[in-house]
Amino acid sequence: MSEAMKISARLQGDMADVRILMRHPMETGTRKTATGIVPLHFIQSVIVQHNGKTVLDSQWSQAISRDPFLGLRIKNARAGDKITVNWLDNTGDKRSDEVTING
Amino acid sequence: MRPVLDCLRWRTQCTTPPAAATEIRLHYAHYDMLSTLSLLEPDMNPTAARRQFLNRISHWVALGLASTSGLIKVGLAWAAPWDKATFETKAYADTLKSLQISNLIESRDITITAPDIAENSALVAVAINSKIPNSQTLYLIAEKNPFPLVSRFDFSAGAEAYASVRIKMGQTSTVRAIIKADDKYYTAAREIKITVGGCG
Repeated sequence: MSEAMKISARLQGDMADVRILMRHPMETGTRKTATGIVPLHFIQSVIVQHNGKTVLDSQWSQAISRDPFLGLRIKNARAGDKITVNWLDNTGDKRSDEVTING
Repeated sequence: MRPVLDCLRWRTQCTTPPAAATEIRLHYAHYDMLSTLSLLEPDMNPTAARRQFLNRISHWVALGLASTSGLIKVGLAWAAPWDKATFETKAYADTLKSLQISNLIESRDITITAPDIAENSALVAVAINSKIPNSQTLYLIAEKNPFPLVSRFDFSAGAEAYASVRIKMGQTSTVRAIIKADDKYYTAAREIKITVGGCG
């Protein structure tokens, strides 16, 4: 199973500055090791929700760096609101983590 | 109807696999059917009882139709399928063609924050901010990458048109942001030099 994401959500006025760090190899399918080519393995979709409502829906290629970072800004946020981040990779593996916005 | 409604509310927010959500819905639907058949209050007048019964039936039918037609999303909807065709284009011109973008408008309202020179080609921090009203979709493109389209971001009204990511770059290249707003495409570009070669 995949490791938990690190998510920080900090309030700046009525905007939340959200920074997400995911743990994922993001293999391009071209990297060679002694045992051969490492197969393509990368996050394809990331959905960020604010209190259950989708605010960002993104699709990625293998060109996103290993252990991906994603920063976004959510409008009309308040302390205590929930931010949920979901990712899905090309092997069908997925992960979902949730945080509460700090005041 | 309460259990079903609660369940629906839960389902639209939940992130558990669809199978589990469906199972719970069936469970509650079954429970509700039982309550309709046996728990009509005895002193209820026949018209009210009939109305209540029909109401419940119509709710089920609506629920059934909505679930089968996909109006109600089960679990988390991985909304759009991954755009394989576009992500697999190998030249910038083909990427634009695949996205069906023919007219790009240069815009100063799109800011690309990135280093001029990146020492680690596997870790180039790029942040895009658009001040164009109604910015809806952002495409991030590294023109000379083996597969130019790096990512696509769809912003809803609840998020600012801003995204910050770290990307891999095969070589020195123009990094381009394309913003779709009100069915028009705006763009800004910036060259990022790679000092140590190779995509990580």
